[in-house]
Amino acid sequence: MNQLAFIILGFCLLVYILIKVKNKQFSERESLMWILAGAIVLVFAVFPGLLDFIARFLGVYYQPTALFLLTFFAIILILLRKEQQINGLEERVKELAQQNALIMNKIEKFIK
Amino acid sequence: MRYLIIIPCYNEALNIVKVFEDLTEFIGATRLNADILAINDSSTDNTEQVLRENKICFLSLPFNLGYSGALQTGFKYAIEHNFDFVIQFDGDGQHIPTEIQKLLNAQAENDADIVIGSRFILNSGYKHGLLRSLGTKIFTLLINMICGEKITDPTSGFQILKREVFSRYAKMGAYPRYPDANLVIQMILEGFKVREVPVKMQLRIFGVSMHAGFWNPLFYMVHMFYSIFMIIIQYGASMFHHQKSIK
Repeated sequence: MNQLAFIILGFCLLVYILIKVKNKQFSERESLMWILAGAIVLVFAVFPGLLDFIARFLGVYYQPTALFLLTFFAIILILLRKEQQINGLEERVKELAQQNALIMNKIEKFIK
Repeated sequence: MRYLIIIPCYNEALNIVKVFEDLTEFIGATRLNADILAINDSSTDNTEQVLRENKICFLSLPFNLGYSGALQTGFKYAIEHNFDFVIQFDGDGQHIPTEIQKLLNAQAENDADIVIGSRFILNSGYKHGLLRSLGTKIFTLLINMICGEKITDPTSGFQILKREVFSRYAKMGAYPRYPDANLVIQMILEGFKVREVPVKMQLRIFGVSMHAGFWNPLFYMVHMFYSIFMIIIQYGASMFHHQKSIK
């Protein structure tokens, strides 16, 4: 029953992301990472033995802890990527604001 | 030679007219071929209206970019309009227009790329808070250790920049939020000639400084140390060569 709940959860996550992409609320490029996350949840739900294997490999005795650990690293990676993207956007916005000020100055001179 | 005096302004409605008048008087008296450009950093007071009423040439940013973002806009304007030098000047009445002459002389004598007006070479009567003067001393020491040059007032915004320098600043993807000791170090390591000259400054007339309070200077210090650390990582090799060439 527990396994079925997880399969449904993973499946719902995948469908939700796909709907968002289909409605253009989420870019294809950005959604790829989340689709991957949804797929991983689904894989773990269908093959719970896999999580066992990973936990043993990492030397973690309590299975869910291994899952939390993996999730934690995945979230950190996503956060870093977002931070990088925000930085890039900030630079572009700054450049646009500066160009806007320069162009407005030219327009004002032209009108005079 | 054409000079552009750039004045970043954020809520300087009460100070800017006096600054502009004093500068105009100085330019008239010395017959310096200079234009004045104010950069209104999206002030929330009536700075823009004051600039317009007094027919001061200005750029207006659509939202606040901070001191360095405003400066960088001025550099871009200077490139577009083919100026040879940029003179950075504060809009709060701290800088004294007649002192520009000292910067001009120092630039001409040394053919320097950057000339910084320093409050601390001679006793100029300028008073700093304890934390800030300690900070300035630490950064002076750091610059000396890293570049082997003595710069006593790296936080001074009173500077003359050659075209090569402001072109470099204008194109910098990540022009620092606080362009102080970190930028001085970077420019020296990139091979630019930086000189300092003693100048007098006065306390701002109206309003509050961007370094006021307890947390702002503290955050500034941490930020600056980190920024210098990153420059050391980035320019490690040229640091070694620079010190070797001085010896």
